Amino acid sequence: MSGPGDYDLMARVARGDRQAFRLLSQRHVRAALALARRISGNDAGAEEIVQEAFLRVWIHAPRWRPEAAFRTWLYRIVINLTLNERRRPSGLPLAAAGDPPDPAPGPDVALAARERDRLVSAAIEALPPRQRAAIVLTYHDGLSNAETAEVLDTSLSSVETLLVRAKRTLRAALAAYRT
Amino acid sequence: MDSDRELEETLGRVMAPTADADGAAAGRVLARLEASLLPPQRRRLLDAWWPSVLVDANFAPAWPRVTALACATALGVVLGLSSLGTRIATDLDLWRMASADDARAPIFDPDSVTGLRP
Repeated sequence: MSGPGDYDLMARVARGDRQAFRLLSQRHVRAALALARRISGNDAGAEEIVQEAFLRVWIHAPRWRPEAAFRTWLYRIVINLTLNERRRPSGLPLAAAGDPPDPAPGPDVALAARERDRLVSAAIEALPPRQRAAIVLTYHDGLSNAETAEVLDTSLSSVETLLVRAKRTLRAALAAYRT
Repeated sequence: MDSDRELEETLGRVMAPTADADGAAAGRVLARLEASLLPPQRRRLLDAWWPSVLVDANFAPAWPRVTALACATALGVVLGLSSLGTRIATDLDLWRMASADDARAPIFDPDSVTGLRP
């Protein structure tokens, strides 16, 4: 990552620097979008959530203290907004949209793998919100359990419990597919 | 375990980032942020009136703070050992005002009629 670090940019954003805010947004928007999409399962909703998250970053920048990384703070905002949004009726879930048809006839193994992936995607969609958030943060964003605990504002043992329960559900879904 | 490995592999594929979709959506979000009028920022009440160094509650150890604290402590010890306070009190005549001239003198004056002290 070239250019000023997140801490320096946030210090400038706190003073009302729009250029710094623009740089910070460009740097983190994709990751925030991917996180929101994975948890909400809704593309259009994810864009609104991320836009709202960055507006909150702008509003509260003067109050931000660098006890944790900026990314952790941003992810926490995105997750809180996403979990609040999930309590309202949403549009078509991401997994229900299905994969685009594959024009080329693939081997059975590839078909089976795609079907398995679709099954796991649907099972992830059906997970309770915090379990889903833990899975997404761990496997999509590559955060450690400690970082995930910071984002979710919970303890390390709670994150481990969330992951254990989520994987148990997903494993059961895979086992049901095999039988 | 085979089921664990299968699950980990599947999660790795399912959770892989989709660059194209995210790229287009990112562009839309950034464009909307650029076009929008940013709301006023919320500042802490103290920040509006006090220099940030006075309201910075960062108590993490740092050499400047440790040095300043050590100097203040040393100064206090030196002042105490040098009896500077006692000398100042003597110069200002505070001892005489606070204590009697003769330590054995009675606190009360004798009664003018009986000549006895209460």
